[in-house]
Amino acid sequence: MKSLVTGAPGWYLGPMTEAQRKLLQTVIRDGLKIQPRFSAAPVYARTGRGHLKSEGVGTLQKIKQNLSKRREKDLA
Amino acid sequence: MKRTWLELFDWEFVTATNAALCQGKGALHKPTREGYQPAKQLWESQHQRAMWLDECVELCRRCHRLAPFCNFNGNTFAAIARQLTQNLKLRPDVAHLVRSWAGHIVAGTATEIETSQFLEFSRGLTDEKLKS
Repeated sequence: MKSLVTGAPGWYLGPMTEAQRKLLQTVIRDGLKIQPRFSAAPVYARTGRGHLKSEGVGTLQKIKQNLSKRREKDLA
Repeated sequence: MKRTWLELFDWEFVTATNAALCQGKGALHKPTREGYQPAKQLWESQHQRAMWLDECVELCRRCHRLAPFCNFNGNTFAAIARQLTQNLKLRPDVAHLVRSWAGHIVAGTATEIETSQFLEFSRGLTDEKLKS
């Protein structure tokens, strides 16, 4: 089997439907994107408190800026 | 609106997600002695059930806390929960907020306000909010 991420051999991929395979790729893509914000170790299980680094407000600000630009374009 | 949100996400899917995320960071992908079986049983008993979106996110949180894998449990279940919100027709800024709430709840870092806002959002969902 080949990895969905790197194409490297030796990675397990059980019997999955086409829909599941596509979904898996999407989930992995998002998972890798947010990975730096998580700790690898099972902190939540050990301490009862989870760990997730804040994303900050940058992304939301960008989204809002794009929305207002789009609105201005629509009005023009 | 109750729905079988997690129908396609069987345990093999969860395992494959964790394997890929661990591989991406060169981390060990291996089941844990204590958490793997309880999490697998919990997931398999629930994932095909019609649920509210908040119940799905809560299932992801509980499985994260059980820590079925040696590494990146939070990332695995948060990515799954965030994916569920992609099925919704929302304004981009609202979609971002909802995705963020789901991620925080699963990670175990959500405030009470975030959790109750997500619950309210989930229980107010209707079919019209679903992407076709």
